[in-house]
Amino acid sequence: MNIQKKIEHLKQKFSQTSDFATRELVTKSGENIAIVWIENVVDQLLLAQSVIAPLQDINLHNKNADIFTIAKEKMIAFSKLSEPADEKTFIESLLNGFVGILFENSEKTLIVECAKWIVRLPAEPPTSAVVEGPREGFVEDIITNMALLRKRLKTPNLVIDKLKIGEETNSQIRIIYLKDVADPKIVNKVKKKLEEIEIDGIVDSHYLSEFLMTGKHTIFKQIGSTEKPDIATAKILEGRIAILTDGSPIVLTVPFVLLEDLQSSNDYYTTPARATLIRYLRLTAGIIGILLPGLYVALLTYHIKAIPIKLLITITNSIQGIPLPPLLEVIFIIFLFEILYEASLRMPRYMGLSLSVVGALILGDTAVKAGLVSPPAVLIVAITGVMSYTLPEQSSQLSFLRLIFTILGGFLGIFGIIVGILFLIGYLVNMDSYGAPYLAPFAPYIKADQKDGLYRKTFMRQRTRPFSLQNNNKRRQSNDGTDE
Amino acid sequence: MRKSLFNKIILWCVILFLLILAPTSLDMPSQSVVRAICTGLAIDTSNESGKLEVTAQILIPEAGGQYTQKLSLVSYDAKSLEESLEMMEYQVGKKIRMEHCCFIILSNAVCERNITTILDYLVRGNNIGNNTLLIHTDGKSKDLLSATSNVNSSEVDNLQVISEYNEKYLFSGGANLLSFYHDYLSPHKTSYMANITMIKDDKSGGNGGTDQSSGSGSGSGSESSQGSSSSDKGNTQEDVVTSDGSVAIFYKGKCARVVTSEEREDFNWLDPKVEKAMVQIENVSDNILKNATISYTIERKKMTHKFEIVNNVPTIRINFDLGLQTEMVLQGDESSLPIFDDYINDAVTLAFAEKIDRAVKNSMNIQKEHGFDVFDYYKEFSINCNADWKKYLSSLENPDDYMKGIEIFTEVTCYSAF
Amino acid sequence: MTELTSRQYIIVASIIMLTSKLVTMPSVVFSSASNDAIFSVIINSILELLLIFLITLAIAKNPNKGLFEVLKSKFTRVGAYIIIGLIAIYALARVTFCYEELYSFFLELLYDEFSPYIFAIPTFFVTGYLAYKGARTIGRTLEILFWFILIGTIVSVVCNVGFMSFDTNMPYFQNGIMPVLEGSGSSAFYFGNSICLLFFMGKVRIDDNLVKKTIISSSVIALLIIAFCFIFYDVFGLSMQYILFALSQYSQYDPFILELQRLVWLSAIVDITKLFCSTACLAYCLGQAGKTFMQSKTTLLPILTTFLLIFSLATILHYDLLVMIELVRNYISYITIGLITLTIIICIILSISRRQNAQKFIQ
Repeated sequence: MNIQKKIEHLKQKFSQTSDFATRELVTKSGENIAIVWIENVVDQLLLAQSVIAPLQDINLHNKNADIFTIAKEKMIAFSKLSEPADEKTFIESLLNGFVGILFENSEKTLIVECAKWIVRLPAEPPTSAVVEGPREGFVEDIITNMALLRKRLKTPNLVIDKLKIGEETNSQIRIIYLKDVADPKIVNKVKKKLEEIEIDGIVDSHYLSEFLMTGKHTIFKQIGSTEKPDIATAKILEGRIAILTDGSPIVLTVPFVLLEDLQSSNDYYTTPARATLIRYLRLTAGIIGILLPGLYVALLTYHIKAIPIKLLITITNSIQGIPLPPLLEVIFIIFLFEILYEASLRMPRYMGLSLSVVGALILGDTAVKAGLVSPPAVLIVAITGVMSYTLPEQSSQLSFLRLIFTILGGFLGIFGIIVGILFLIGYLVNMDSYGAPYLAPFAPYIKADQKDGLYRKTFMRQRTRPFSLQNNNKRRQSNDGTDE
Repeated sequence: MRKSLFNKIILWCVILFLLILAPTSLDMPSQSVVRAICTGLAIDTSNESGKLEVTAQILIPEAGGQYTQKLSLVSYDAKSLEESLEMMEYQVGKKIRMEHCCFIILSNAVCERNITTILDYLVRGNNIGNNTLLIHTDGKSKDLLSATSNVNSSEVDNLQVISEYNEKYLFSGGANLLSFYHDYLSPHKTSYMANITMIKDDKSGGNGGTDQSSGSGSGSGSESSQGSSSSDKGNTQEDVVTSDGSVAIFYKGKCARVVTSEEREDFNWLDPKVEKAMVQIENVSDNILKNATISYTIERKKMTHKFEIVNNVPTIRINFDLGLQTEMVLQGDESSLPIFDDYINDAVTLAFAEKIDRAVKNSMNIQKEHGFDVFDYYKEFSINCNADWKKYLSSLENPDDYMKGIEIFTEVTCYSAF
Repeated sequence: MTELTSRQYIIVASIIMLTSKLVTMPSVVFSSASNDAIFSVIINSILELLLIFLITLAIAKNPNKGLFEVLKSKFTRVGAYIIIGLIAIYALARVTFCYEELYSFFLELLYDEFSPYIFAIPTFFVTGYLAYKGARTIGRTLEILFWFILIGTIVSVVCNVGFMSFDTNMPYFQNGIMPVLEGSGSSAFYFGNSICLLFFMGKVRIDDNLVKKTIISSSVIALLIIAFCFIFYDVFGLSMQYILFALSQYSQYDPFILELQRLVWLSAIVDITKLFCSTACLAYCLGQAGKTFMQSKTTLLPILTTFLLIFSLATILHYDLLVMIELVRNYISYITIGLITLTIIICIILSISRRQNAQKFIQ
């Protein structure tokens, strides 16, 4: 086919794409060659120096010599050089930063990778910051992310399976696990789930996480996520499966148990005693964060007999003259708190700072002074708001539960709260994520997993992988898993 | 399909249930606003015969009020406690809650009748805590209550502190509602409560008994007329709540006798729970000292009881083992001699034996006179010699008078506490 | 299908054993046995331990088979129906009693007024949910709550040790042995809960030491109950006659924590949680019985029927606990003694037969 026709054909394919670029060249020996690429994703310098210049330089001394072979030889320096099998692959490659080379009177084409993606450097993610420990975080580029993982897992056992999801986005997905550790059944289940996805595009990992959920769709997180390669590595070592999505700095891990959100990477970079204390603090803060407003409302509305007299006098005097009943008052402040939180996230950073000042000082103080809300209620909602962020990954669930328990406390008192707790526990123990009970290793109780449960023992004592997860190789250290 | 339909039905039922509750719950004010919280109760006899004057100390919230807020008093004369409280509810316009009631003060006049008939309403209801303190006062209980109306004043705490101290160091200190009933229902039918008085004084300070802390603190007195709540102002004279260590002893629910602090010291000897005390022995004479006065602290007091019935006479033999520490030795006008070790010898032991014997006899006489059995000897005899004890009781004309026939003997051994 | 690990079974047995023993039982025994009440409690506890031992033995000897199948093979189909029917009637009475106790306890401890119907709907919802979800959910939920319940119970018991005098109720046996037997007889209803454990037959993963462990933990619970009653009777003495809800009064006794007297909190929340849990267990057993009778594949219909029955029964009794207690003291307890004896005989027969298709599970 004539090279012009080829270019025209491609131009038709990319008709609406203004960044589709073509260039026709004539080699020294007079052969016509065309190169095509997507402007914004190709390194222009590399293109000029390593593609255009060598191609122009081709001089066929022997008329029998094949221009294609010679061109291929000239491009040998590229790590990714191939002949696409069909037009679809050719186009996909162009979209992925490849430069296509077309030849006059030849059906063969060549593609070489000259991609230059805009990549953020692996910086410390804003969540899960550590005091002492690795500061690298995943970025939006899947290659960098894989490199970060590979840097930590230098083993041939590391399996990286490729997938592409999204008819329009063609997002690259990688399923990463350790061959001898991860349970093949779970790997197959994950692959099957991912392969079944038919969607126009995957913009971020969170799209996938909803497809990966096994049970009913609930407010509770069923898929683990992390922004840090050290956490992802640790999870892979435990026998979990990591799922990387191109364009997203969030790496998903399955199976997921609730305990994971109680743990933080910090716990492993500090002494076990400190880690244990912090874990209990987190748990306590989480529980208080859910229950305190509900308890406050329940106590004031139904059970003042349970409040010590001096505290009661203080509270009674402060709520005197407040027009709203306790339930509405607390709901109003929770609403205000959530609005402030949401607004401060969305606002530009320089405004966010002033907003927090406005929110905390002016709104809170003025509301109290105006007699709209009482200081204890503001205090309680503020305390619980802060407490729920000790479990950052669960904060959205916690704020939802907080609202539910506040309503239960206001409607039914302590009775409502107890009913709520029992239902919540009953509900959570029923959930599982890829065979791992959601509340493991507490329900069902797994003795071996307690070593890294609510308390953390030293690494010497943690000889086994979690029993709560299905995995093929339980042993982590050369000795057996029995306790000394 | 059926399952999801069922789930939807359940979900709608839950939502419906919450919707039904919503109108009432969303508008439900704080209980502290719609209830009157009673923190103390005083019961006096009314001027009208047969009626009780009941005064409740009630928290009336003030917007922006401080923790130091004064509590209001509400009084009503009625035939029974129940009726008074009900009438007070009409006055205050709120339902009176008793859960936070810390103490019930009973005047001497009230205690002349069986107070369990008055308190029965409280004990049976679930409204009041078992640990509510019961306090007996010589004067008008309403005055004592008004002295404790200032939440932040030490007087509220003072009542508790005195009771706590009494419980630890003195016989029969603090009695609460349930322990009173516990004793009242026992075969000995003897219960007791602390006698706390209030004195009006220009300055605060204790003038308590010899061996207990005395209350001190300030609070302004208040007078309130019947049927109105009042918070007093302008009374410059200060009320001081104090206990001189006296105890009101109740027999069959009635106050049988108020034991003075001196008499109570005698009772303290018989109480195994009271371990520590300061004792002064006078007129000690031996080869070193002559007519000396020596003060000792009893660091340990071990009592061994032996209960027996010999010839139908219940006899108690008590052996006192006293661990002593010498505190002060005076001879005439001179100060203590240079005695470095604890000064304990036969003369001292003898002096102790005499002192204890006298005290025990005194306390037994008081008990025999009124028929009450403070240390529950009834039970001890039942445990140790049940058959003989039953025989003894059946031989009495009135089995309740069993105390009269009991003989008590003491023996004393003294040793250095070190 | 095994739904419970042996640990979960032990916890379920412990919680079922603790059911309402610390609420109304002490006063009911005291009203019959007076000073000697503690001996009645001891006798009944020993009886209950024997019952738990035999039931667990029967469960261990008959793995992988449901109660109905096991009974059918020994006592024919009709016999199995009769036995399950009798146990179901007991379970129904027990659950209804638990509900009434729960309601009265709430009313006594935390609320000024509380409509029984407003109470019934969430209670039925949550206990029904647990019962419907099955043994696995119940086992796991209890596993989470067990330490909370146990520590809470121990704390509320220990707090009062300081007020003991050890001789409040002495001398014992003043009126002979009859009051003790009467106390045992009139409170047997409280000690028969473990019969319902039979419904867990075939659902427990049998460990080698299941029976031993169950007996040890049950003995600890029994000791806890006896200690509770002993301290309780000792602290309150004859003033017990004013007390119906032991635990609620118990925590209010300390005179010197007036400001912090709200220990009542702990007992309220712990005991209410415990009552909820055991009610769910009993409701599950009742649901299983219903499933057998209705020959239903799902538990939904039997559970709904069960709750309808409980609701009707509670409404007939006007949610009046005192009426129920009178019935229990005078009639139901004595019937329970018969049922306990029957269960013991059945368990002995089931245990003697050779262990069939025994399968060991190692976790």
